[in-house]
Amino acid sequence: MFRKILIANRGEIALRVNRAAHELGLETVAIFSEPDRSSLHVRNADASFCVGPGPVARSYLNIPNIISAALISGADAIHPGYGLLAENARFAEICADHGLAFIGPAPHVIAQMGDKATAKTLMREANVPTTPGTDIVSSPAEALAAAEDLGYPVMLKATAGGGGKGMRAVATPEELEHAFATAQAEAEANFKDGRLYMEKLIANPRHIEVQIIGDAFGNVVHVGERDCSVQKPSHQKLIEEAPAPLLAEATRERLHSYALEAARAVRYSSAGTLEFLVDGDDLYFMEMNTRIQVEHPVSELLFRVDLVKEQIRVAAGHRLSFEQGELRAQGHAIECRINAEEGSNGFAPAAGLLSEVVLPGGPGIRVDSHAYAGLDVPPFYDSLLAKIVAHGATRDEALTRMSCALADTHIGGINTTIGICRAIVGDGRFRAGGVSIDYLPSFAAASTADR
Amino acid sequence: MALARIGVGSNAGQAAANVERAFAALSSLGRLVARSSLFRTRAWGVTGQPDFVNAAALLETGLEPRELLAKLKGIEVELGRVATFRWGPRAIDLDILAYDDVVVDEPDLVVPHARLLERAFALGPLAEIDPAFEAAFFRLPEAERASIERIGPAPARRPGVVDWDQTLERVRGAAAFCASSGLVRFRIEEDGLEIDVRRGPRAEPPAAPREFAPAHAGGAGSVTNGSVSHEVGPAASLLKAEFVGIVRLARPTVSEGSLVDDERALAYVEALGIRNPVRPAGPGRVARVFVSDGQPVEYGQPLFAIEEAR
Repeated sequence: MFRKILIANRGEIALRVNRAAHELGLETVAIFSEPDRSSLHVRNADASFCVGPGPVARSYLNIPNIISAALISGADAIHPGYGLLAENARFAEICADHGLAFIGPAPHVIAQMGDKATAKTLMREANVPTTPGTDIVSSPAEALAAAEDLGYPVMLKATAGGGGKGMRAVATPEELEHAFATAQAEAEANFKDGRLYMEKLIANPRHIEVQIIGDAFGNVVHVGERDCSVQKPSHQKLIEEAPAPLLAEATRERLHSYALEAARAVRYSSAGTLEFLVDGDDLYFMEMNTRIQVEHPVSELLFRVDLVKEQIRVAAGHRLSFEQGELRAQGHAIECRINAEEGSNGFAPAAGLLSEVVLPGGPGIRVDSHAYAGLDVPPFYDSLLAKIVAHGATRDEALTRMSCALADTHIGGINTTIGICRAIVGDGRFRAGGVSIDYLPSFAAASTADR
Repeated sequence: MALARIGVGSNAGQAAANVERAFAALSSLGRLVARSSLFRTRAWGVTGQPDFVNAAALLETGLEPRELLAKLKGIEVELGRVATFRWGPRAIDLDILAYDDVVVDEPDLVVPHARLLERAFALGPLAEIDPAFEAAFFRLPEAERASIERIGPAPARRPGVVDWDQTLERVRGAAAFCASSGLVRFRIEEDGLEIDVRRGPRAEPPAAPREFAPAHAGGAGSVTNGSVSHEVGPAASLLKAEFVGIVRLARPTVSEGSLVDDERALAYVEALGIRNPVRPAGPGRVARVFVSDGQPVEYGQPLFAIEEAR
């Protein structure tokens, strides 16, 4: 086992990892930026190093200072949390170069899964269904023929793309020529590479992901799925739950087995998530996240396991401490993300002093948070303040516990997503279950229009 | 007997091995008192050549400067120096950098070496084994000092010279051992150095086991610098660490009252094998020194307070 872990993150996930490490009897080293000096993750760790000023590029992404802090403090492993350096294959390599264990999968697996085209090819080879699509389409005529094959609607995407640039949804053949020209021009302008490919557009799918964890001995298990369809227009998740409601058992089982096949195909060793788009009974692999995710507590409550401790154990070369047959989902779990942002105002981020922080508790409630009254939320980072997770014997009980917990939550001084979470948990359409990813954008638009 | 400082360089073939062979050959000319680490140096004067490997030796010898020079040229030939263009690749190059306090100024021999005080590749290795040249080395412009890079670990010191870094390291080690073993007293004697560590009535190890924690408030159990105030006069400015690393105070070390300028680094923050210089923005006087040699520091940690020199 490791002796000392440096936690290369901040906020609630740094606290989460710190706790897991302490439960395993390991010492911890925190890193922090200047505005985070009085953060809880700094107080709770056994030692800490300031690694730079506020902007992440100069602090939480400052690889030389982070590695130097690890070496000086005698840490033997680095836990990257999520975001920041968690899916940076180069960072994982640099850790290895300095004799530090990176708590995550092998660098080449991070790199493979980080490249969407490579990941898709690997998944196809492992017989995991991916969104039907083409290679490069070089002319509008070629695009028209391809679209006929795939069936409308289709999506044109820039191969060098990202951030929605060079992307066009096309519903009919008439729109295609114009969409091709504009997408190509946009891709050319943004990436100096105008090449486009085409995918079938899955109009309003559900976003369902499968938690997996593997060890270095080739053992890999799934820890069930999570339904993350309640997403902001930016595809950031707001509410996640498990099991996915109103999902055919056969579909659920196919999801789990595809996830295991995918993980085995890359000999995955660590905690990870396979994201799928689900359209009725059709499943399409979307991407793999090679990190612990924000919403991991949902699965932890449902399966009564500690994924972060397990992730640390397998990184230290231990075997998984449970087998697939021992993992049984019990009841229902749901998570609401309380972010420092304008819930009803397009989710613009908010920063400032928290004058009041009252977090809920009681049976079936878990809160992961770094917030406290008096904390000055800096403007530089992820807006997540708290994760409220409710567990119940049934979905209904879990939702009821969540509404009561949200009613008991008071955060003052800053706008948060508590309000919109309360509204969604009380909304008939959400309570009915099985919403798709267009749910939150339309719900938010409707509730703004109401006022 | 005289003490000669010999510069050794090679940039042909197995440069490091050539330098090792030269050290062996030098010991036939007297007693090899000390040899420096090997330093990698960018080829000087001519580009497109392999880098040099440079080193220095302290040779106690009965040979006069001119005799010594003849012997050195003999070794150069023996080790396969091929006559090439000036500053061209060479198997081995041996120079008398200095010879006691003797000054020679003749067409074919200049001692101390004419460009000794300008060049990091000659001065750097020498400063490592001869403290008399440390100050001169640190007076070199930063770019010049950065042109050499030590290969491998630092060498053993010359006997009789107290290496405070090493000594303090050993005291810290003894203290840590005393604390972790539960011993009340621990005493070792070795190489004429005696270390006697006693545990005080409260079991607070002097430098362990939180040896790594930088000084700041927060972090349960971390060493705080509560007793050190960073408050300085209004005219003073703080020099802070830009890197997470270990402080190496530049020799000679400055203390409160020392006059300093932007030419000379007061300390280095060593991080991932790189020494990052800490230099004042301009001339001034050291008002406070907040750190000690070998201390870990974090980003933004005050190292020195500099006030205007009156």
